[in-house]
Amino acid sequence: MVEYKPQYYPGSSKVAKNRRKYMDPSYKLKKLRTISDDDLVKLMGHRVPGEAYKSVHPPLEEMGEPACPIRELVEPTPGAKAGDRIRYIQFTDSVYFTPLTPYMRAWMGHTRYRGVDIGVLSGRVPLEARERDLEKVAKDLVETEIFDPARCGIRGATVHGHSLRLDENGMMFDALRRFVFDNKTGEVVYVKDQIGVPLDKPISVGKPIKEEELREMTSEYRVDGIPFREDKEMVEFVQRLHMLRTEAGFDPSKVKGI
Amino acid sequence: MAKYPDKVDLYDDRGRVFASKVPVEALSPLRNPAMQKIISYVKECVSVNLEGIEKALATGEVGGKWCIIRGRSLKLDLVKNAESIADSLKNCLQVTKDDDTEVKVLKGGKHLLVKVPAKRLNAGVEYTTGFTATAAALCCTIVENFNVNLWDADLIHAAVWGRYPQTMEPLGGNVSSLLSVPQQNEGMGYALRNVPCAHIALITKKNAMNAAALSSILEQAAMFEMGDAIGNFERLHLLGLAYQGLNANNLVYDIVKENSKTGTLGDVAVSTVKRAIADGVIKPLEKKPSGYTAYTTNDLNMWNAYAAAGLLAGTMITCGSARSMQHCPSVFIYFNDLIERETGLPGVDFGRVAGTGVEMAFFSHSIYGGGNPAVFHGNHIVTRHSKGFTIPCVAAAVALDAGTVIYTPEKISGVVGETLSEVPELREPLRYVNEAAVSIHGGI
Amino acid sequence: MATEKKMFLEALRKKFKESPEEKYTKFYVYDGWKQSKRKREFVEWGTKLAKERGIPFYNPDMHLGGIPLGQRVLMPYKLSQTDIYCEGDDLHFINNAAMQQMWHDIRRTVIVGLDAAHMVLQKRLGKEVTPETVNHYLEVLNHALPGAAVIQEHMVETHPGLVSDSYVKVFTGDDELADEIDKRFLIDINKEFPADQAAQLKAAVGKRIYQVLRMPTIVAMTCDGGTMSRWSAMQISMSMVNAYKLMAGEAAIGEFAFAAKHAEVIEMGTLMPWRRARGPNEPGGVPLGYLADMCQASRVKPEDPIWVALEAISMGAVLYDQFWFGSYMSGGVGFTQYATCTYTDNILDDFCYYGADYVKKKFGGFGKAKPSWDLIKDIATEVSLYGLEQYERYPALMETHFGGSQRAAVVAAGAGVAVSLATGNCTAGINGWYLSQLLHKEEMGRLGFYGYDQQDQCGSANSFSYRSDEGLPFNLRGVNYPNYALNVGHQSAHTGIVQAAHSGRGDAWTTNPLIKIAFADKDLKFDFTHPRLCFGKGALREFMPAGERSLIIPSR
Repeated sequence: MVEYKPQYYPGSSKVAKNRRKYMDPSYKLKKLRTISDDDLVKLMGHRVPGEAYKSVHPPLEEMGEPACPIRELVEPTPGAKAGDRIRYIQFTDSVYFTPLTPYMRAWMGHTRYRGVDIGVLSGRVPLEARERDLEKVAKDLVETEIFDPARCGIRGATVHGHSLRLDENGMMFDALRRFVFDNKTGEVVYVKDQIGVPLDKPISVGKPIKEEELREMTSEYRVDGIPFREDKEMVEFVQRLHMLRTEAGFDPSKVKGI
Repeated sequence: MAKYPDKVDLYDDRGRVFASKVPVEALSPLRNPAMQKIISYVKECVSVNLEGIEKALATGEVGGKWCIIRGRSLKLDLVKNAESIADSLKNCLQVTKDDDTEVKVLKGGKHLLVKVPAKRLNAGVEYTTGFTATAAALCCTIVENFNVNLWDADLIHAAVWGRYPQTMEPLGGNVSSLLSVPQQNEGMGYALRNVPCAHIALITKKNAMNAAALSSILEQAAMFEMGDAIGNFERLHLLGLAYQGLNANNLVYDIVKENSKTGTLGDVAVSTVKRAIADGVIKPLEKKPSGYTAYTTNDLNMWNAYAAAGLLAGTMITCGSARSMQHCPSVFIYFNDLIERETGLPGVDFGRVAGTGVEMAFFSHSIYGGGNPAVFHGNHIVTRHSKGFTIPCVAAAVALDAGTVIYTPEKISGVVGETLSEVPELREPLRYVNEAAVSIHGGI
Repeated sequence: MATEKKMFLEALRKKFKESPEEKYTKFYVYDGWKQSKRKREFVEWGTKLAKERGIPFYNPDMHLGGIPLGQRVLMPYKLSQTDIYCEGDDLHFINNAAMQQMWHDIRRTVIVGLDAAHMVLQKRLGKEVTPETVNHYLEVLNHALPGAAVIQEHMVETHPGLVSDSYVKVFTGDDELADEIDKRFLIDINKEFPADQAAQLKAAVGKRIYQVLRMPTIVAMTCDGGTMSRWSAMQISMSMVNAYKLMAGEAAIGEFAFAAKHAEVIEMGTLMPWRRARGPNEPGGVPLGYLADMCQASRVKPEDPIWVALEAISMGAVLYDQFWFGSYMSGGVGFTQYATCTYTDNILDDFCYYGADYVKKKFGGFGKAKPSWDLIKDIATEVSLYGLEQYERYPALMETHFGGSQRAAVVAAGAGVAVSLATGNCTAGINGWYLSQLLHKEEMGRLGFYGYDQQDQCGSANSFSYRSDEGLPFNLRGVNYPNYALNVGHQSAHTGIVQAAHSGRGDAWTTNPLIKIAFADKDLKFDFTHPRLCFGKGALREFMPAGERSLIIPSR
């Protein structure tokens, strides 16, 4: 087999480099904050900390599996092995220089994590996985540099906020006000879990990342940051892809060497 | 004389080589006898729920949910007399004594598997003959064998045919075919695309490779019937069927194996690209200022086949590792996004699989939706956009699910999937198609 | 375009108190739903009616477990290129009588050729057909069509006060024949269209004569679209029997019925298959080009093809997104919030005029260039990036189109309309739309709702495909076209992409000349020459629809 170094993403701008970096699983995401396992479980609201995982089917070993060579080959995740339910964490990312855009969450999620189900909308990204697998992934997603406490939100429903202006503290809008800015500590504090159920005790997710830092970390092209049109390599990449898809739709056998 | 130069090595579902250098046309629905048999069986094989009929007659519950006709019931021991019903039914369906009619009694008489003789289908133009002949012959058999009188015959009709003809389809009936009524087809040539993945998974006993193979055979045969796999477009579908559906050159199996322990969907995309480069399917076009290399190909149809095989492998890794079917639409979108960004070349079916994935993700995950992947098939406005390359992956995903859904394949499929898994060619299509390809190899 | 010239700024200043460039604002201080006059009205009615009916009813406290709507500004909307501002609720078709009437006027229309009937009369029955007999027949039919008896001796009839919007008119491309038709029955092509358009239309129609039949709105409201050609055919056939003194049951009459029911009929929409099953004359079966032709903006302001396209887009938004996808297909309260993006606040208008200026400068005018990759890449990229940059430059604009699907539709519409204008080829235009969607996805790293870009991912490949169920000139595609059949937020603007290609070329119609003429009718209740203005009047409750029922119900 040829030596091949994955490229992940084209583009010559800083934004493209950031996209490439986050998508490359060999790059270790920087840890910026610590959220305890119990707090994370509370934020997601699927089980009470310490409670056993509920299951949707018996453990694989107990139930036995059909005779299938692919099942024999493909190692199930720990959650699948145990028969955990599939649960979710969902994020909203503001359009104002957040580390990740919605599609980046999917692209990165699928290069870094196994057995995840990620959906993308303009204003939210649900990630579903077997519950114990989900908790591992969620840790990365909340504790590292890809999460800004003020401009990223953990939201199950009534998610909107991504495209709205920011409030006076630089926080993204949240109709349910699950998170608030603590003026005393300068930290963002969750008072409700992702679906909006009040928490028994507030959970801090740390200080907002400064805008100048976000501008360096972001994977968003913006005209007031790094404009897409200045990344000619990206513009041409998309144009070529569209041209190739179109030509292929007309007649794939005629598409050669372009 | 072969139309196309392509030759492939055939493998089984465990990655063992079966034959080498077989012309890809030996794997065409137009040429391969096993595929033609499978397509015939899909039309000719019908399942009968005798237990269901007996219960419907006993309770007067016929013609759809909660339709219970007061004052009407019949106590007939159908299950107990399944053998004699089967004999009479066979007799009724046979055109000649030695023809290919078969009626098999299953589950102690609860179910019958019926194979209508080919002559009956050949004497008409519609694929519904399998269903209509069986349902009608069954009515005749029950009326005759149990001396049902003039006043009760309508109840027999309702227990067998359901609410038809007030409805277009046999709503609440107890005879089922893999194919739905023609009115349900999205467009011309869509009949073979109307088989829910739940049926496919059960027929193939949840063997993911065989589920993908059977689904791919039906979907790609439909491409010929729709008028898509013809002229300059035929090779696109032949290669897709061979590489994605039938594990040609062991591509699917190899990529799954490579990523089986820890691989992510991203890793599968990279494995696919590596293999395409190694096999000379794609090559660098130019290096961009960032250092990014855009790739090109002189054979887009072959690249599509590789990408389609990678897509199935990606499904097997993602849905297989999670033992969950719900992940598959996410695979359809993001495998393609990743491989396009990795190479600069279009994804599977040139964007159509990604588009299908987008809608399927929406419809399988939201309030607008229509159920889990087991109910999906290619004859739907959500899924029809990809021409044969998506549904085989859905079938594999459904086969790999360990029980994460409430509407399980078993619940959705009812008697059909289980009954038709008695047909060897449907249950193990890879084996029979490979054997048939070798048998006609010389002729091509 | 300089900031001060941007068309959307006025609306943004009215919507928000901060400058459109301001990135920060306050939330949670607007007193929830109470900030909205319309919501206050809803609460008042909801409270009153809950008491009357004894079943709980509209109650904003039910929203999000007690957190009401209006945690941010509930912004007003300007009907683009009008002076009308309204609340979003006023643009829901249930709350807007003009929108209802637009749909009813379309659904209740059937076009039926008269020439075949005349041939039956002359060849099989030996009757003379003259302009006088035609006028007489039309008078009989104007009595019969609304629901009156013509040949029976004991028959129930409809109350004229309930069906006064039902009538028949005719048109022909033959000026001499037109001169002899009673003006009360004539759609006069020469009068309704500018001279060059009239010449194109008359040449297309020739000496043939067509009836345009409007069934009563109350029928459109209570029965379905499939009713229309049946209703009209019965009344046509009976009126023929009456007007030409025919025997009611002879075999030749079967030919009238066949002509009126099948052979000579043009329905506004064709029927739909199983999963979206609806009969003829329902929104799902109306092709994009038909809807563009129903819009009459092209005959009142042909010198502004961009405005013409935008007016057509507003009809597409209401018919396809609000009625069809929003209610027929998805159920529920519908997609009004989403669909208004293409016809409010002058945003799409700004993008389209920007694109048009770019085309004029770069390609010397409209319809002057052939489709090519260079052209599509150039125009679609420029207009898309312009649109995206406006959202990034003006946070108030981003907040106005707060859903990504809105932005995706509007940006791509700008690109598609511009390519259509440049090339006069709307299939090229839609390809420009698809490039725009891919650029948008990559630039913002986000696009629309969960299922938004299904057709946009398939779109590049299917633009110029000629395979079984993929290829079709864009004019003839509609919401039953496979890729489009469950894809809200696209076909509104697609209507304008079709329209722009043809209005840029100065065409009198886009797809079907008969439909263009059939809607050039001042007696229609809805004003098809100015749909956005008309929707605005509906929002202000100044539009009077048909469908009267007060005659047969108790007075309030």
